[in-house]
Amino acid sequence: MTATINSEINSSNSKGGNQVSTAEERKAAIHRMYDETNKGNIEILNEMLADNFVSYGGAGFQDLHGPQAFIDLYRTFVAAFPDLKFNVQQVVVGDDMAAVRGIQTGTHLGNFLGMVPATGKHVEWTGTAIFRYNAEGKIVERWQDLDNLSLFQQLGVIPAFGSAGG
Amino acid sequence: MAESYNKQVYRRFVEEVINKGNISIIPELYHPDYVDHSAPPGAPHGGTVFEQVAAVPKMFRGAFPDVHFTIEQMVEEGDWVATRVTGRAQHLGRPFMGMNPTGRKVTWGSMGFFRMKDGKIIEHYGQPDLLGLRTQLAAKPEPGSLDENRAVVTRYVYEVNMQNFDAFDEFVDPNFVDHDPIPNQKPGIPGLKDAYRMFTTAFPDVWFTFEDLIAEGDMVIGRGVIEGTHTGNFMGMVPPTGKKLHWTGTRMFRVKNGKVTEGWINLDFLGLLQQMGVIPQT
Repeated sequence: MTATINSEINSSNSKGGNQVSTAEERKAAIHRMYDETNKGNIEILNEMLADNFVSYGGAGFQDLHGPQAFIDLYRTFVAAFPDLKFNVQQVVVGDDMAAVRGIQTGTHLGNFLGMVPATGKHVEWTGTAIFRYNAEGKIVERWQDLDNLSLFQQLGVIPAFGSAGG
Repeated sequence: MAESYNKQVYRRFVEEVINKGNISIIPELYHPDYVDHSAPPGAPHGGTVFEQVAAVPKMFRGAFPDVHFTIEQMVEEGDWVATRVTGRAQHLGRPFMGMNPTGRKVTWGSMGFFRMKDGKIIEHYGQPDLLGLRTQLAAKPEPGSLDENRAVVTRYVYEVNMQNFDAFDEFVDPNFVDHDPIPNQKPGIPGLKDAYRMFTTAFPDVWFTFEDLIAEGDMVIGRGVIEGTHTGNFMGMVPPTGKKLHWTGTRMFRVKNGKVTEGWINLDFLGLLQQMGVIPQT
């Protein structure tokens, strides 16, 4: 990414007018967050998430309130997939928001969500997360959609038929 | 100093009803004898107080799903509260003031006078800057700008919602690449139309609404909700259940020269199949 990128976050018309980070700084912070969680440093989320953080469920998950609840969910994924990685493919930032799309990979060595016993399979699925930031640059809201159908098919929970959508 | 009760009533209207769409608290905030002297265009005349008040957030949130009002000022004297707010939103939903969704980010001011009785709003005069709002929506975006890219993606989604697939040539590149195709999807625009027809066969009233849209460089990405009534066979495997279903989706596009050239999508297929009863609830 170059400094000339067409982004609204560096311009003066930002919503609220109190942005503390540039587009490049926010991107760097997102990459750092995933680099660290990929290495198992889940505690970094305490640094990135605001105290009043909310992660909206959708996609079969409950709404979670506060950093700790999200860290706990993350740990249930790591328990099921100890080598869990999220490989960032695209980060798009604007105004008080950022979106990340990538491919998640892992080897299914532990029980997943208390309902899928370990299969030993290597699985991968795509996912997208969208974050909203507060004026201090911390994440206050998170939404996600992931290819949960493909994941469950790869784990053998659901028979294979078409996965993605138009 | 704590905010007065009357000011708190107005604040709850803005923060709960407008910003969150929580219309259920309207009876706590509005007096049964409420009179609106300045109903916005399109608001219903007559009907119950609840229907009249609820129509305003419904109309704004329908056109601007991420609408957010910030209270700039409140002045109180006797039983009157005068307010000044700033609205910020993206035109991602339904048509507004005769304009199809533009994707445009807009900011407008609005002032209102509210008379209070028994701790509830009983009378309202208001002056939203509808001309300023309409002017922003009608402005032609600069070629290659973020506004144009948002407009292209918003139009794409709207025309799909309207099932106006014949218009695709106007905003979809002939070499469009779908990174999340359905099984055996043909390349380019013909394949894209087939993919959407698969959905419209299963859900003839299917409608995707962006709730947030983020643009940077040549990328546009947003999250939204999809609603549809399952009256047709889904992907040749789930016979119609007749149920009204509701699921989430996140979509990303690359836009070049006013046309979408690449698309990615993540849909909550699992939630969808669970609602169809094909898969047990997790």
